[in-house]
Amino acid sequence: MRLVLIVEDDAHIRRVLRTLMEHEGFEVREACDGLEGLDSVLREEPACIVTDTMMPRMDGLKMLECIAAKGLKVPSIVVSAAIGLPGLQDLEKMGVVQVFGKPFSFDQLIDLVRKVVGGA
Amino acid sequence: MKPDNERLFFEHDIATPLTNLHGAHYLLKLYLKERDTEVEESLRILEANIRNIERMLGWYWRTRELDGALQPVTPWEAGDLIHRLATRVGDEALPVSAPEESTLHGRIAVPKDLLDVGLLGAALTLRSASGSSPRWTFESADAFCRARYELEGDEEFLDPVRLFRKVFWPSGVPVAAWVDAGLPYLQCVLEGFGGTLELTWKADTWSLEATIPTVR
Repeated sequence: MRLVLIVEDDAHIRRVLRTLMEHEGFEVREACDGLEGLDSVLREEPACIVTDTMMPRMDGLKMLECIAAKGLKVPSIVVSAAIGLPGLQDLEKMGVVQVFGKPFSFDQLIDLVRKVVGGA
Repeated sequence: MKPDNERLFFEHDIATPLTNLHGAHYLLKLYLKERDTEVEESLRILEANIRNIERMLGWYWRTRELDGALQPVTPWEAGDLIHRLATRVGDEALPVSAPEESTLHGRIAVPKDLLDVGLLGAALTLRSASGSSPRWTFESADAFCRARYELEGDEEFLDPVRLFRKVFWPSGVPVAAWVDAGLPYLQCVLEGFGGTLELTWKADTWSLEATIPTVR
């Protein structure tokens, strides 16, 4: 499966990420907060999640906790200002494979998504 | 502004539009398949200035954060300093000469990361401000060791006021790692531990001297 879920409350970042992922041949779903993201994961089980942390209604880490609590393992990439992030071990339990601090390198992000999803 | 709000402003709020600027630049490169010289030049200017804004804001905040937050660490061997800096110059492909070999005595209680970044940043700042890599040496004395950066040039060659004011000096040679701090960063780190940073001119040589206190 080549479905990537982008969870981000900033519409411009979502737009850029969607364009990049689609350019790489991935199918993309968007969510603008953790609740929408959780709903999307439960319906479609993406191959990879790219998520922000600080968002309204439900933040990205809470969303990943809920996904892990439901027994789902979805490799996730956190793009964040990295304020108040938990330790590495806790992040790994949530399925986080890497954290990118904003502003991040789009080249590095797309490389990692390719690796996680299994090549594009 | 309250400190927590200020932190959020610099570490979160600004990060979003900066990410979008990087993203828009990335998309432009993707969409503009056929690029003439003018388009390439425009993209280069856009990229360089997004980066400059990012670095200016970033180094302003990182330098400001040092105020009142510096705590001594368990003293470490001063002799390790030069090798560590030289390794970073190589590993991070920094466009400056590595410091020359020397034997340093004593131990240093300044946090390694802060001192390394400050010293590397000073070398990069002088390189950006002058266009050439400074000669970089170290020496030991009784209660301190000293880093000295030297550049040949007349009295107008460098502008000390600007060098000590600018938190980041834009460069034509971008540095990937966050080690390109301006002199205020190193000055803040050194003065926080009783050290000094001085820039002098004599006999057509500019000399920036960073004095780092040592303990036995």
